[in-house]
Amino acid sequence: MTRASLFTKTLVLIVVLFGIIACATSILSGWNLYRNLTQEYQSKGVAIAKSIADSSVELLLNADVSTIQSVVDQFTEIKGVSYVIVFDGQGEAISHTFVPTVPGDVLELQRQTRTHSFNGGALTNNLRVEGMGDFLDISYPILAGVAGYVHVGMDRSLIRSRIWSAVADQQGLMFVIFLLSALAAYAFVKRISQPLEQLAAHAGKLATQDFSVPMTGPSDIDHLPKKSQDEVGKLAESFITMERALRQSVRELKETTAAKERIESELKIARDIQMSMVPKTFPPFPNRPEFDLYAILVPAREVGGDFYDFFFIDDNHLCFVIGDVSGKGIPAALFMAVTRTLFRTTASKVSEPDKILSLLNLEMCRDNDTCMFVTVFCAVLDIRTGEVEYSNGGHNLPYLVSHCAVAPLKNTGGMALGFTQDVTYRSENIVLRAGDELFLYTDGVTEAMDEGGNQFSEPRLAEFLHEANGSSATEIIHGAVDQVRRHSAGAPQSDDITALALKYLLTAGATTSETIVVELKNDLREIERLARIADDFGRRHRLNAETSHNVKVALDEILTNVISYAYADGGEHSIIIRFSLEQGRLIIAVEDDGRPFNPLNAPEPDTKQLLEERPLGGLGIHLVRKLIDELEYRRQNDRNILVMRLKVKEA
Amino acid sequence: MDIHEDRKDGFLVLGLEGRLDAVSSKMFEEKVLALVDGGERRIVIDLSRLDYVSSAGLRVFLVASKRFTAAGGKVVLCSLQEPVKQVFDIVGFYSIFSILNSKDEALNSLR
Repeated sequence: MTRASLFTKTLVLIVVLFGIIACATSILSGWNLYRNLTQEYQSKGVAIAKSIADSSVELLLNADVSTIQSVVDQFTEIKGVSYVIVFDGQGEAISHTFVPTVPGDVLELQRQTRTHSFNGGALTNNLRVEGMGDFLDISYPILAGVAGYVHVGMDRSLIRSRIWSAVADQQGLMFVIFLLSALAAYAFVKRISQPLEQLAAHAGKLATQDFSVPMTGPSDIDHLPKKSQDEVGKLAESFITMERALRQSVRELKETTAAKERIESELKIARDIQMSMVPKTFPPFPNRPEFDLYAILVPAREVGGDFYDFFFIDDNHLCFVIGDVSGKGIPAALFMAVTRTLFRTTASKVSEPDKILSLLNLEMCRDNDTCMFVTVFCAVLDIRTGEVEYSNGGHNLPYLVSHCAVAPLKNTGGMALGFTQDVTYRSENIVLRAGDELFLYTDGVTEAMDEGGNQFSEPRLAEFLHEANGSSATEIIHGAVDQVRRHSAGAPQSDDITALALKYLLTAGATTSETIVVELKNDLREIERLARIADDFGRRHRLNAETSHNVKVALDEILTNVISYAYADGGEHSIIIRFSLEQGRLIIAVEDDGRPFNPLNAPEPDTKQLLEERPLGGLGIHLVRKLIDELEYRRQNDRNILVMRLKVKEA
Repeated sequence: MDIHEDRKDGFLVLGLEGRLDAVSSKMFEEKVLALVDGGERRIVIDLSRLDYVSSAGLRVFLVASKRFTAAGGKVVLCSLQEPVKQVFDIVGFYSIFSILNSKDEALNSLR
């Protein structure tokens, strides 16, 4: 393809060039030849005419016609001379070489030229004679025309034929040169295009080649740079370099991709293994109604360094733990796996949190060449009494969420595990009351950042926990994770998010009598929280839905009144609500420090009135009266105390 | 609480979802007043997803009914849940409100 195209182009170029040159040179040399020949003929004719004229003077005067005829005939022997004619002084043709008569054209020319002034020279005319051809007619006067005129006709067709033969010779030569040039061009083009064609064929093959395997043997264009030292050679060289680079980078890419895939698949497996190391079946102990437990671990990368765990040490003691390994990624994950395994082993030997942490620390410090460390909070709950013994190793202190307050547990002062063996871990004790929750978390929760770099922070977490008070462990955990995600909306997760919530539901054997105390701020939004706590209390004691609903409505009405009207100062006040269950009766006392007000003094609204007559207020207390069996108000120690009693209907 | 607005057969249907208490009733009252001021006359309030109502919420139903009636319009309530029904019953709302069992019935009653 390349050769055909290149050669055709060259051929066309050569043909055009040669055509132009041949035409131009032919025209030029033809015209030169014509001019020269004409001049030559003319001067020849003039010489002949002059010689006849000179030699004829005497003969004419003597009227020796036959001698003149013989002279005239002599001259016709000369090449190129077609005719000779001699006129006398009267214009009569005395002798001529025409057979049989003088053509009219010649006589006519003689008549026309008689008047011409010759000035001693000859006159040349182009003459065409019908049936005889084209001539160069040269007339010469004899004795200045007195004795007559001589006309010599030179044959012009001879000039033409000589020109044509000269042009034909030249064209023939040009054609031979053209053929030689075309052959040379063909050879030259072939010499250039052959390596190009090889390159093209090689490039065509490249597309289908597998670059990931090394080259087998030398390439079929390796010889080209040496063979052609010109641009084609350079091109071939770049080709070879390019191919080598291509193979190299394809091979590298393949290796990198394979390595990346291997790491990714291993990381995925590692993640599965790690996630299987923390318990994920919830509820974990369906036949233990004393508590509600839920936990979550969201690694920031495929694997992370956070962990949680929980298990029964014996029938009545639940051990639960949360930890965070320094660093992130694979090293943290490996260290986490070690920690969790050691923790389980340790907890099977000793059962007090401080001893567990001390032993674990010794183990972690041994051979800890990488100087990694782990923060651990560990606790043991006696599910019969709600007693919790806990010990902290440098971890974020869990929050205790009760109906009155949200506050972190008291610190036990221990530092992170793995630093040094010279640490003593101490224990603290608290007692969970029914409905109390412990919220354990790692710093991935409080340090989750939004796009502006602001952390979620402890105050936000505490606020969330306060609002979520009364929710189940599952709701608390999902709510907290949602809050964190909403806070960091869009920003990438920077650390593992891990949290564990344990809600103590019931002191075993205390289903018939229990008191919980709730403290509310004077803010209408607190009423919804109170409703959740009431629901929670109702669920725990299996109260029927109607009783729970009645309690919620009554509390709502009483508290809306107190919050809206009892305080004139606009400051913050707290309202105490006590729920107690005594011998089948639910007693709820609402205590506030607002202005004295007995809601029971409010007049009964007329519920039979028509719409237009109905006042907008007064329905709240009416509802309370209808929903609650017994109501009692007293003012005591500058406080309003409203006591509601109702008979419990179990679900 | 969430308020959903929907137009059906040319009538506005307000769907209440969640708790209607002293906090959320303010929003509900503003919505109702804006509607009647905006020229709305006959509306259905769908309570099928209202779990809870307190007297603050009841007050807004009274306000709504009074304002719409005064403007020559009408408010129809429908699909009350059991706890809400009980509260409505105690305060005698069944005698002063049009309360129907389903949204379709409520819409039919407005035609």
